[in-house]
Amino acid sequence: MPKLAPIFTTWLRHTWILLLEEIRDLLLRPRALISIALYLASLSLAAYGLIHFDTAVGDVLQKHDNSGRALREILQRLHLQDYTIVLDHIEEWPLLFPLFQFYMIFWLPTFVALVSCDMINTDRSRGTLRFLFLKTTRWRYYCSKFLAHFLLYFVLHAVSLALLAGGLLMTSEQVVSVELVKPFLLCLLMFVPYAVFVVSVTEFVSALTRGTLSSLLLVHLFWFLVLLLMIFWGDFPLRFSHFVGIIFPFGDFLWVSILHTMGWALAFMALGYALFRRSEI
Amino acid sequence: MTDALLKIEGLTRSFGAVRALNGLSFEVPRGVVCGFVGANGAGKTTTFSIIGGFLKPQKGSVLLDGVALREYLQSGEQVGILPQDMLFFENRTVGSQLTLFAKLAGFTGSHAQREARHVLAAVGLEEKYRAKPHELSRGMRVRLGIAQALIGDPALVLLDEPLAGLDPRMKKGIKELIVSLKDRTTFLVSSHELAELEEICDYFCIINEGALVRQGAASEILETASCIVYKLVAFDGRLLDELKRAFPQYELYHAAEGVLELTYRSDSGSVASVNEEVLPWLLDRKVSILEVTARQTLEKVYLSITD
Repeated sequence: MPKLAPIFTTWLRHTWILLLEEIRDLLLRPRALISIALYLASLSLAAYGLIHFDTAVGDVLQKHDNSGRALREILQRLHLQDYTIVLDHIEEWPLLFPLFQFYMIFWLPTFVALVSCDMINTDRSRGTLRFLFLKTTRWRYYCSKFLAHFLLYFVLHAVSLALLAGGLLMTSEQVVSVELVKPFLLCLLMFVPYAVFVVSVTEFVSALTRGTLSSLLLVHLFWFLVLLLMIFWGDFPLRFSHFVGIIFPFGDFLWVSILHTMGWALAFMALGYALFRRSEI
Repeated sequence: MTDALLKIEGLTRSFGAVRALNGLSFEVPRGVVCGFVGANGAGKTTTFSIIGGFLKPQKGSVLLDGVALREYLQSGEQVGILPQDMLFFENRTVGSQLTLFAKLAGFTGSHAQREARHVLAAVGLEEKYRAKPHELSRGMRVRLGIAQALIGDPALVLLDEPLAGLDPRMKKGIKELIVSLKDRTTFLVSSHELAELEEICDYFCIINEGALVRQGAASEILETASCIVYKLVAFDGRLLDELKRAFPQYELYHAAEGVLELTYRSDSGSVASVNEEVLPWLLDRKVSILEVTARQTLEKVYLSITD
């Protein structure tokens, strides 16, 4: 029986060293820098639009007492009465957050694909992994890649949400900062399983493919299929309740979505590592 | 053998239907340069992969310093390895990649940088700390590979074909480097360049088809087979065939026009006894003998015991 403590500390130390190296390399890679700049630019534009939209809709909801009732009726006609719980929360929350999460759901896979699609196959095609694995293991390398890329997106999302909340506070007199803490934290919490899912899928594809282009195409094909499923699996996109919590992270949706998304993420992670473990380097 | 650093017993490893190692056992004494000799497919790379901890044997054990390999590596000790294809990170400086390797080997912060400089100095590349790998010659890249293998002062360093693709001057430099580092560590060197190995190794392990054929000190091994080179006039292929039939116990090779190489086992004869048989036979057939030279080479030993 091997001693677990030294194995774990070595794993931790190696993963940390490789993670820092990967982040350093990421931030020096022109494609990653351009993609991050584009992502931030598009977020700023979205935030600008959303902040004004939120203020306008908030005013309408306040002025017309029955607008919520009208929306409920629409959902019932669509046989989506289960989701009227969403409306209760939307009236309490600034709309900015769910809308921003909705925007992020579609943007993140593309952004991650651009930055991270070759996170493994570039090293493998250069042959440098053979040299690196004289000093460390494939598992530590795989984990460090995953964590480095996940951390990058988590920090970017946290900064984006903070900027959006700040923008909302500056433009709306009705919103007070205390009201924003809970939505901010819940949206950030829900970002974790979704980002884990997206990064693990991208790492899986990178472990599967040999070139950047094939990796990029495969990642996009994958997300296209996921979107198709979301649209056609059930009556309406919102019927795909496992993903609903990512956009509306409250009530029952929250934990169902977290468990469901993490389950898929772990499956892709295990599959990706199994592929990588057996692949030629 | 006393004071064996590496002790391998009964290693067996198959890949599908191909048996790469077939109960391989050998020992390497401490502080030697040990030549690890075998044909392509004899199991050298598989053995290196197992000693490096990248591959598990199906049977058998590897002991380093009397400790099972797995425990040895888990205790923080290292086995240095120079792989055959040294593909460095081309976008990083020599110093930064050695520092990364030193960190992975357990050095922290400035100690890692110091270790990187230390191993670079040991291979004579201290001034290349800030160079990129593509700025180095092939010989320098081998030196850099040896430097990374020395990180953490491993007791055993495996060198896989360190002389392949080098020009004579570079080979000379690498051979001198290996010999100069002998006080620091034990080397297990795999190479097909047997003449070169003969110059630097003081111990040999010869394997064939996944099993040990012979091991021992260089002096003992080289005595086991000897070669006599005859420079002759009026010797042709027809006579070679006749000679082979007359003396089936010897390995005979018509190396060039008028040059005949004869290899015999040292334990079954001597230069004099062989000449007593062969020279009269040649003279009877009107072959003039210009020169007779006796020598011992690793290549002859290898060929005679692996045939």
